[in-house]
Amino acid sequence: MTSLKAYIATRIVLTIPMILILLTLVFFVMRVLPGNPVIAIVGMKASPKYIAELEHQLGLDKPLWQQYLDYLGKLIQGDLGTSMIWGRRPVIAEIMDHFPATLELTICGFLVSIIIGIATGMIAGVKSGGKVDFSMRIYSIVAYSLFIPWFGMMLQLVFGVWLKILPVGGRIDPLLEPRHITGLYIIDSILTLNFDSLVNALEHLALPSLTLGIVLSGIYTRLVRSSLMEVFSQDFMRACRARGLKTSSILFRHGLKNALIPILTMMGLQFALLLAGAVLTETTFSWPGMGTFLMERIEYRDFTTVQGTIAFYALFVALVSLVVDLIYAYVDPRIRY
Amino acid sequence: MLKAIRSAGADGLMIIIGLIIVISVTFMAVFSEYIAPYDPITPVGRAVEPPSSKFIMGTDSIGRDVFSRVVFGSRTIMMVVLLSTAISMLIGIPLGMLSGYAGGLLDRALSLVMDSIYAFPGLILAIAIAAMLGPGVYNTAVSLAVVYIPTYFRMVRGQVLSLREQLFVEAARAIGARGSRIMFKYIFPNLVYIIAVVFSLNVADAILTEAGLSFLGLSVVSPTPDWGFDLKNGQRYFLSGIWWPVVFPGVMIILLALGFGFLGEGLNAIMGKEER
Amino acid sequence: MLKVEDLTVHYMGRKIVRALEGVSIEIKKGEIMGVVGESGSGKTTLGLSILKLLPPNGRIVGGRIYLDDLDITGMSEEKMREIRGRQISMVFQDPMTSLDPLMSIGDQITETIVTHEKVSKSEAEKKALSLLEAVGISGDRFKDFPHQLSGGMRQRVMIAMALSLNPKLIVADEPTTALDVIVQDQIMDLFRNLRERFGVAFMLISHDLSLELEVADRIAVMYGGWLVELSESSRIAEDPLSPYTKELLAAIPNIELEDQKLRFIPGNPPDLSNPPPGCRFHPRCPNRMDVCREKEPPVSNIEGRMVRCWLYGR
Repeated sequence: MTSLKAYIATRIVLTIPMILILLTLVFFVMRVLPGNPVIAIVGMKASPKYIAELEHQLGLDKPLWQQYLDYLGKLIQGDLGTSMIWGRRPVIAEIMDHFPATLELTICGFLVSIIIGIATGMIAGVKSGGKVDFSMRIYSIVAYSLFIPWFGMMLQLVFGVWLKILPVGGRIDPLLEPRHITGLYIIDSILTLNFDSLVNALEHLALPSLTLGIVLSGIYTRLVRSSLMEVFSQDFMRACRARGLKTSSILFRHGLKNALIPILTMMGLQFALLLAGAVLTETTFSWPGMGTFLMERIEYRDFTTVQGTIAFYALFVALVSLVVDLIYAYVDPRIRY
Repeated sequence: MLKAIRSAGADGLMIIIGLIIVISVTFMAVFSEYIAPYDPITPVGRAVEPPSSKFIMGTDSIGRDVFSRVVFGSRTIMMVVLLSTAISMLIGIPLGMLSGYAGGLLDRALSLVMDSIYAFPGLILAIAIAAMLGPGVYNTAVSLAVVYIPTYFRMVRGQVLSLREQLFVEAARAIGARGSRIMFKYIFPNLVYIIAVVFSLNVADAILTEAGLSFLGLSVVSPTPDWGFDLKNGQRYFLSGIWWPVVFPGVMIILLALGFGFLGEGLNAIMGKEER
Repeated sequence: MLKVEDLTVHYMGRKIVRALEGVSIEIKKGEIMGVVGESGSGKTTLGLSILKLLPPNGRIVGGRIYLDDLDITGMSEEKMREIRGRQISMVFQDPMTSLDPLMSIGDQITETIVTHEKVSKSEAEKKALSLLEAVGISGDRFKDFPHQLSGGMRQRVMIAMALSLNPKLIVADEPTTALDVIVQDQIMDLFRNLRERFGVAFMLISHDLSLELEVADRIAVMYGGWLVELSESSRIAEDPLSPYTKELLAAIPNIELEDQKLRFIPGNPPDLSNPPPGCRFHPRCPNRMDVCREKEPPVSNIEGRMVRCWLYGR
């Protein structure tokens, strides 16, 4: 068991430099790149005095290295900055308003993608080499190439306009919003036993999750297929059959666990794809999540919020990647010993 | 390589289809002026006219010919993507070779930086950079380039590491060849094959990312013809039945991504078989 | 107990590979039957055919297989599944690819038991534990994973699995080829031991005649898809009938002789999609006669021993 603990400790320690690098990258992009954010906000016509004042307020007149240290210092304290527009709310608060929406979408999209990915990957992996396998490989390339906004719009057309069975945008009907406990509508509506809300939330989740999930499922198809081909060699299938096991139970009891391994391995990286895809999905479906929030603030030139949001993404990705690696170490005994 | 393609059956078919698509679109991009019937940035008809013999893909919300915009849009996207890929390769490949061959602290540090960037969601990083740099073909290319530098870095570094172990480099060193000479004469040729695969798959990804940036309004300046950008403009009227400004550019994005995807995937499969 | 009558198996494809032709063999209760031959001789095909585990392009085109007077030749997959593991089981050459790397060895044995018998999980686990001990693996390795065991131990686990439902016959296809000679010896001892304790019969398939001579009661020699000789192992060593068997014996290096030149049989095994006319061994046979080139030799019975060679045919 000590090997697991040692692995955990090492992994956590390695995350710190990664976070540092990402945050530095964010700082570099936001401060060092050309383009004066203040002028972008107030325009070229503002008086130099006003510009100087704003720059001072934002700390932009300090030497770069000092800005960097301030930036890191604030981040350690959990301060992601303050918005430059309207109510000047702390960025972290505004992010938290929109984060649950993105989380819900991301999780549902993820579930859809692994279900489809595992199913197609298993079919391809077990019948490897044949026409079925080949069509699964084609599927994985085609699925990933489906440009999310376009695919989402097609689904909106079919299910929202032609069939009229699902809503085309938004997260929920405003009147049916459940009481706020976690911010995740599915959980909140279950906790408050509000089944109308639950149904409505699921209806709104359906198309965005499907869009995101189908497009990203292709990656899992490939992964599951190659992992299964390794483990489910002809030899293994034959040995199991020689013991009188049913093919279907072989697939489920042995196949599923082995299929999960590559998914977990790649989940850290695929999570990044999920977040990126979520931005496009949110914009297509008017989903009030972090993606829409980010784009909105870019349009308003709310540069501190944009910086804080990107930093948040960096931290979030690093954290998820860490958690995934730890789960992976727990599931695959080969890593530990 | 050509022999391998011909004898590869289904994988060879994938490569051929991919090549056909890529070459066709490149042709479209290069000879846009001769293929497009109208000027892509001037309104030439009534707004949102459905496809007809006059405008085979209809007109968009301002009355511009969708087909002409699609044709010229290929030039925009190809330019941006190829430019960004060139930059990524120019920075990523030498760094990868250096890191792999030098090893030690430099390698560890560089790898850590590259892995961190690689772990960050590509589109979001591109959004951040594009937001700061502003719109335009060259700025967009830079945004994309940064996202994909780690891809080339890792690929090359991996190759260098595995090749470094191989005997023929030992042999070369044994006969006294200098370090840099080893790198160029022996390691480089082996890279070409794998670069083709990574390049194709990467360009496919870059196309989707560029289209994503365009869709979010961060890549080109209106009225530059760009598929993703047109998609965004068409979104407003789409659900009321005005499908042609959305469907045609969208299909082109998917088609081009598929083309490069098939190419890369097919080459990858063949390379795997050849190694065996 | 197991009776194979005139079995003919072909592999379909652009060219039809005639892997087995007219093979008849009988295995008695508790007997260790050795099946020996070069690669391509059909010995593995024979083993797979008995369990109906041929690959999709393999087909039984003639002959019959009887298990205790029950004709299993054309049996449905459903019914075969009940026979596999329970009445006949099989052990393969590479234990690593036969085991799930993510499941403990104990759990995998338990799985086999639970699939066939209606017992509780704890009862099955108890049985699995006793099986591990029967094959010489300590019980506290129950929860270990395949990669934590050596090759020899993994093969023992496979044998324990094969034994778990007290089958009548265990077909072992090159069980020790991938292992070193000391472990090989231990596994062979184990086979003898298990036969004593549980009365289970073995069909030991191998290319190593010397191994079979030590362990098997009777030996079936295969060449080019044919059964060319079948007799008690003691008699084969003293007095081999078929020229092929003679060559095989001569090729075994003798550790006691000094300065021995390694003998081998010149030529290659036949291409079974286009086998040579007449006797399949004739191109390489030192006793080749004219008739061997033209006509297939009949099966002859000499003092209860079977041989297929024109030297003994009429």
